[in-house]
Parts: sequence; structure tokens; C-alpha cells
Amino acid sequence: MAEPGRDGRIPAPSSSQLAFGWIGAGLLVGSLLAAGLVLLGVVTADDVVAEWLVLGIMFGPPILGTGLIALPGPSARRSFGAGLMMGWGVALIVSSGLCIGGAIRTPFFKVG
Amino acid sequence: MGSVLVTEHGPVVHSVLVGLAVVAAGLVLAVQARRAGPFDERLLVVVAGTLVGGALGMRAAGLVRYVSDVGASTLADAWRYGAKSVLGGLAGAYAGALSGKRLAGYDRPTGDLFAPAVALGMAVGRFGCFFTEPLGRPTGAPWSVRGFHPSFLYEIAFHLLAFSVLLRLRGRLGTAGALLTVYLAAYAGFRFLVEFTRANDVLGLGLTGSQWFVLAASPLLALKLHRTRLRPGAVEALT
Repeated sequence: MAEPGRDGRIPAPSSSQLAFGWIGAGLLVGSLLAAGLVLLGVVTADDVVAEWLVLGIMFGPPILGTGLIALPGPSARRSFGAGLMMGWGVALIVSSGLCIGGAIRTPFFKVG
Repeated sequence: MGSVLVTEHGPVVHSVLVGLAVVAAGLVLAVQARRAGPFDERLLVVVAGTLVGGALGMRAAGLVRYVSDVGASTLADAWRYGAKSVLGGLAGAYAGALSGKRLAGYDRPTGDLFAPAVALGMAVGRFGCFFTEPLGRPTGAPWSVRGFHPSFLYEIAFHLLAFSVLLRLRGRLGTAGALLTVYLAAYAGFRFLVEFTRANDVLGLGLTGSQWFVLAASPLLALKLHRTRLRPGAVEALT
């Protein structure tokens, strides 16, 4: 951990590690990706396609984002990965309620 | 099963309120992080891990429940119709935060930053549940809503109280990051009790799935709580 400076406060990390513009881009792509895949999964009639879409929704963006952050490289790539994960996570959390409409007609309706 | 207050646009109402909850939690987290000192950008990776863990956790618990209920269900059906669990989301978010810290090389405790944010977010998000999900079990209590326990209002009151208490306890716990432990332990106890008013199915021995989840997690929470130390004046700050 960094030593406190003369003013007693812990200094910020010396190198800027993330680029906020790329985080914003990742946020946008992540949320659009999640929203698009959720919509496709809801409307598609093909079960095989739906299964692959669900797998894609669940694991694609997190794995991609983690890889972009973990691999050594420019800060833009890491920033995009962090944004991608954040956008994907927020979109899925927020869209959880959108499934209630379908689920409420099934015997498995439980949110809690 | 208790009545649902909003049916026609229920899913949209629920999502809007969950969206507001995420915004509220994000604002509190930003204020907390700013208050703690110079902003460390690696915290964003921790937040990303938390969100991913939360999103997967809330679905994972539902997938398990759906598959165990239905048996031969498809993954897609489980995704579409499976339950979403707040407890699963919290557990997933916790694991996601730990993973994010490891990924970012961030070794400072984050529980004190996250606890008030989660409490306020839960309070706001539960309004979505109150309007769009079964209210609770039947009751003749004078505060009943349409003859049912307003179980989500109980929970909203708990989270708002917890938010206030957590703000007062900031910096008064001897163990860094312990605010989240205190909050989660309190919520576990509260959740176990409030489940008796919820419209959830009984899983076994008169207890719901959420109550069994809380029982399973309680030894870990108790251990972490046991390690938490109070600084002088912590109790007085609450009065």
C-alpha cells in the first residue's frame, strides 16, 4: 500500500490505468450486447439457437471483459474490458424484471 | 399467493425501479470512494467484477431452482422463466468483488465502500418487487395491503434503517471493510424472519429456499462477524 504524503493522504496510483472514454464505449457495447441477446433469446423460436444465445449471454461478455483486463496491453483495451463487464452486468440486472411478464404465467414465478 | 399491485406494465415498472436502484447505489459508492481519499481507478474493475458476479449470481440461483423444479427444462427456458434471487445476487456480487480485486491487483478492503451503496440500492429496488410481485402471506393485520403482508415494505424499511446505521458506523469499526459484514449479517437475520411473511414456497421443514440459503451462509457470516472489532464510541454513535 502507498505511504501517506505530507498532507496525510494516500496518493493516487502513479500511472493512470484506465481511459474513461474507452470505459464509456465498453459500457455502451456491453449493455447493447446484453439487451440484444436477451431480446433475441426471447423472440427466437429455434431452441438450439436459443440455447447458444443463452450461453453467449451468460459467459461471452464476462470472459471477454476479463481477458481484456487481464492481458497485458494498452490501457484502452483494459478500460474497454472493464466497461464491457459493467455495461453487461447492469443491463442484465436491470432487465431481470422484463422476464416477469413471461414468468408470471408459469408455475415457476418467483423473484426474491 | 398475495396480490400483485401492477400487472399491465409490471415488468417495465420493475426494471425501471431496479435501474434507479443501480443508479442510487452507484452514486453512494462514488461519494464513499471520494470520501475515502484519492480515487483509485482499479476500483472500477472491482465494480465491474461485482456487477458481473451479481448478474450471474441472481440468475444462477434461479437456474438451480428452475432445473430442480422442472427437471427436464432447457437452459433457454430457465433463462426466460427461471427465478431471480436477491440472495444469489448478493453472494455472486461478493465473489465477483473478490475476483475483481484480484484481477485489478487492488488489495484494500472495499466492504466499507460497498455496504451503504448496497443497502440503499436494495431499498429502492425492492419498490419494484412491491409493485410487481406477490405481496406476501395473508394476514388480518391492520397494516395489511389487500389482506396480505406487505413483505417488501418491511424489507424496504430494514434497508433504509440499515443505510442510516451504516453511515453512522463509518470509520467506527476497528476492522477495515467490516461494514459489509455487519450489513450482510443483519440482513441474513432479518431475511430469515421476514420470509415467514413472504409468499415463497416452503422447501422443507417449514422453511423456504431463502431461509435455507441463509442458514447455510450463517456460519461464515458468524465467523466474519466474530472477527469484527468495534472502536470506542461505535455504539454511542447509533444513539
